[in-house]
Amino acid sequence: MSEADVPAKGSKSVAQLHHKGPEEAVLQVERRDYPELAPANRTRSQSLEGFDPIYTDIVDYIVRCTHRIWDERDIGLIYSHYTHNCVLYGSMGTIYNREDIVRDTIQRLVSFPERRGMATHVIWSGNDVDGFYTSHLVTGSGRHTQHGHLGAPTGRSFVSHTIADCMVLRNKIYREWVVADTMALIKQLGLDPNTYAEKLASLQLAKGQTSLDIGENRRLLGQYPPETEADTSLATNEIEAGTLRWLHEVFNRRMFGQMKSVYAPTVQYHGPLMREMNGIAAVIHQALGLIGSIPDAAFTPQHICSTPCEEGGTKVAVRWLMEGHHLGHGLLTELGEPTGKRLQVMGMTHYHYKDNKIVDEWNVYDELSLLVQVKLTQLSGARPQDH
Amino acid sequence: MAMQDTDRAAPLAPDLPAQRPGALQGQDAVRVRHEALAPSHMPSDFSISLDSYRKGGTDRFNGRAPEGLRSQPMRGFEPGYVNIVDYIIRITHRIWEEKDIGYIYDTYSHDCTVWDDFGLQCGRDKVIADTIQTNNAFPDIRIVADDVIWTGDENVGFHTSHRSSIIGTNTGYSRFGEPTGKRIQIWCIANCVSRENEIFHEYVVYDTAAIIRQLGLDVVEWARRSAPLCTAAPQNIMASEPRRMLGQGKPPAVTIPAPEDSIDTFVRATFQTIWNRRNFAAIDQVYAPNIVSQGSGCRVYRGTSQIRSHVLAMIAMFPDLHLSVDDVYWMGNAKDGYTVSVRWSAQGSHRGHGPYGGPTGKQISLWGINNWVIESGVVQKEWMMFNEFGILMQIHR
Repeated sequence: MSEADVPAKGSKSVAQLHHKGPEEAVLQVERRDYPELAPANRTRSQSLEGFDPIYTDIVDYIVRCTHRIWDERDIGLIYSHYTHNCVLYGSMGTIYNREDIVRDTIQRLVSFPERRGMATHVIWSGNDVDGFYTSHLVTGSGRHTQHGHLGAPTGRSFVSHTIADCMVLRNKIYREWVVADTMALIKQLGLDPNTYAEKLASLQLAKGQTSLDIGENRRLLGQYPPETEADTSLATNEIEAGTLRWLHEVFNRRMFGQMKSVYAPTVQYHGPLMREMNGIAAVIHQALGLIGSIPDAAFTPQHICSTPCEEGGTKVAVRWLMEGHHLGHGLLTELGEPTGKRLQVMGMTHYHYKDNKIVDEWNVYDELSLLVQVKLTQLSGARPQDH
Repeated sequence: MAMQDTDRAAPLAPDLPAQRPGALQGQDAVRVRHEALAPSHMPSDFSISLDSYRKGGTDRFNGRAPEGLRSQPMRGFEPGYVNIVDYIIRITHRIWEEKDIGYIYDTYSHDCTVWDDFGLQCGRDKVIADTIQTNNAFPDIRIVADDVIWTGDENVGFHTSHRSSIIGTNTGYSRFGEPTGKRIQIWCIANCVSRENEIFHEYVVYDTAAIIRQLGLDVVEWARRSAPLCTAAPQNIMASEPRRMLGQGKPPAVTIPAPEDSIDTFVRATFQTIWNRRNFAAIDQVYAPNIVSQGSGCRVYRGTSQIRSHVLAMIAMFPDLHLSVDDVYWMGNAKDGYTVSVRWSAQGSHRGHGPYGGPTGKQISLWGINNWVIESGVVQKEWMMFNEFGILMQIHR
């Protein structure tokens, strides 16, 4: 991909350069009711060259177009909001064109007609010239009332977190990453994760996909200890660089104790499976337990951006991968006894820093996608000649 | 598939660890890693000891170095560490209780060797993975130091026998299954050798069998399931003959000296007389009448009769048992008494009845560490930890 597609983070759009007052600030989500996030008669708070006139800034665009597509059922808006060749990377697989996104959206709405995806934050960077990057945390709730991709309706309700990161230029999303907490959904509906994961794995196998073990993840070079210094080249400011440094310290150098200097004592942690936890010790254990399940895990950040927020402090969004093998016991209890199979965790995390300490963390990765990876490896390895 | 990341610079070459100030370089010290200890290496008093370390109360303990400690030359160690007891106590606290498990990268060598219930573990990465597993299973784990018996110096390496109580609640998944919610408390003795801030050799007895029992699980069942992981004994031979004596001869008889004449001889002669010569009356000579011996399985033996019963039970199960003393070091003097670390190993055929089940005829490797407190010429306190779970895995393989 060319340089021009990458949002030049930190560079200011035309509107920001001619910043006139707080009334023209780009919208922020957490304190606003939906009508304020989809305002009528609001002047644009930033330059949005090529965007539909209805949108007044990038946060308005993300929140409102999601509502129009999912809640108002104008699913066809996907045709004017995604490029024909857009790519959507999900934790369960990749979609390579717009039409499949349309069909996938309809499938989900068939099963959960009442689903409401409520924006919790949009953390963003970029501008209308270089392109925008948005990280959109959605708290989705609904009820499983119809026949669909999960089988017969269970009638049960659910609530779960999803984070969607988008690259947007001229009203169109051209690349997107989505991590939905499918395991939370499956568990809340009372479905059997093993049965569902086996079904998905056998579908992937039928398409000729196999799980490739990448071998070594190179967190360590041979017998050397991990890198002393984090690679902070993704960061555009000090709070992002600091975030990448402590993430490296904790997840690659295994210095879990360092989290006490990063988190506020009152921290609230909102994790996978809708785990709500409080305090530093609890957050440390969530990190330690994940590595417990994947003892050789290498943590690699893929993207970071940040937005100062009106309730004080800054919100930071990190998209990351963790690569390793299921060799231990830890938080990933749905995977059962260690299988030794390769795991790639795709995760996204939003941090809210206030006075240089994290007061809130929203962390999303999907344990079900990991179960599918294990099942696929087991299925693809179980050839008849092995028995 | 990768986005802007493809443009990122290739990972940097690893930082070559900067040579610590004063680190030993280029000396032609042959086999320095395992240089034998001489009696001259043994501290003749307790000025550097856990007792002196914890004077002044707990506020001065653990998280930071207590002030006013006696220091000793520690070439290559991080400057913050004043003496070897300070090093052992604080790295344990930081790794296990502050959860800076990655600090193992700075305090274990890449090629360290660690003997535990399962056999020989090689390499620092295994130590880190195992430590994370245990912390995941027991998040509130505490390692309460009971003593650090040490000897050696910055040249031959510091030898430390770190005895502790491990306490924790099983609220996470472990290799023994889902969380039980049970609280455990066990003794642990870890004998380490360290130089230049890194432990490179360790023998550790965690009392795994007691952990499993305290979790409310069936230890024999788990020994059977874990046995494939156990590399502690050869699997392709049946019982050979432990060489306790030559053919139809008899085990050598030795005289047990007074400890102040030679701790080393006292220890070796005691083990030879009791364990190999089977002269169990010597227990009354060596141990104080009110001896308290604590050990594997959290068992407590009070008085010489109970100790004798324990020795009898072990030799009844392994009738041809031959024990050798592998490593002895101590601190102290005749006036203040001595603290002693004894590491031993033994081979025996499982041909008798006992708590490990009916005879199987299998040859078993046992090993353990004893800590003794010697005062007034006799052993006043004993801790005896051995690889009980390792024994069970070998029997039920």
